[in-house]
Amino acid sequence: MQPRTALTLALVAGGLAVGLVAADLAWTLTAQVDGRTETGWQTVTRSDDRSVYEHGPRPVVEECLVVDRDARLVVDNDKPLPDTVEVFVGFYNQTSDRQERILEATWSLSAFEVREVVFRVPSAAIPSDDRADDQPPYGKTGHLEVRVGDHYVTACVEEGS
Amino acid sequence: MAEKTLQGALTFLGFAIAILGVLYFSFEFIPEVSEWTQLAALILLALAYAFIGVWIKETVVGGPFFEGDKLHWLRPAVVMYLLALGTGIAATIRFLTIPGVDRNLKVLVTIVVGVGIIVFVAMTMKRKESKE
Repeated sequence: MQPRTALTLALVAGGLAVGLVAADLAWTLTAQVDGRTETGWQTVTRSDDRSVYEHGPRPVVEECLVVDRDARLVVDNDKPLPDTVEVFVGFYNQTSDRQERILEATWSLSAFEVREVVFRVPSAAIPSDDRADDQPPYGKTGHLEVRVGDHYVTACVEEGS
Repeated sequence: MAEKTLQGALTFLGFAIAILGVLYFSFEFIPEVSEWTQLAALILLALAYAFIGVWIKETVVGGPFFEGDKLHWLRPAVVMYLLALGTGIAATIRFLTIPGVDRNLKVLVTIVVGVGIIVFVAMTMKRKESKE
């Protein structure tokens, strides 16, 4: 290979690499400016008629489902994530006029691991049938709050869950 | 000789800085750009380094740093090839850590690409030798 050809190819490859990264960065910045990252509360209706509520800036969490005791958190692969992400799960009793947190658990995960997290809600967090009529904090209905970094997802867990 | 040593030291410094830049881009830059962009950029960077090595080999600054048999191979072009090698390894690690890609596919792709490179280079070299 001629040195001049090799130099041209090197410049082309290097230029493409820089251009590609610049284009990706520009796209991300534009997405943030024009509001493609959603804000505010959102309601997502699931097939089992439970609702998943989200609030706060939403550049990260795409989906959070709680089916029985399995909570599945899906994170948008295209959105930026901090290097380390703290996943917080809190279960709140809401059968009384006041909310009371009856369980909380925190996981510290790397950005890779949190892309798709499936975790089992500890049984202590789920009201059992024999405690269903108890007074708070063991009511039938509660909600599960999942926090990934600064982003919150609240999944309602209704009767029998 | 002193000039050669200085050139060698500066070349090593350049190598260290460049490889640290590649590693930083590969593993600390994750939230900024998508994994596929990173992978493509790393592959292109590896190619760019290799082509710079080919270019520099033919120039007057491409001679060996040290006289003698043991370190005769150590020349700027080889340093560029090593840089390309390091970037290629970083690209492979980045590919293997992309979430959402099936593990079986990752294994298959890495093995096929790895063996493919070896076979391609061997065949190219044989063709060159037979031409000579």
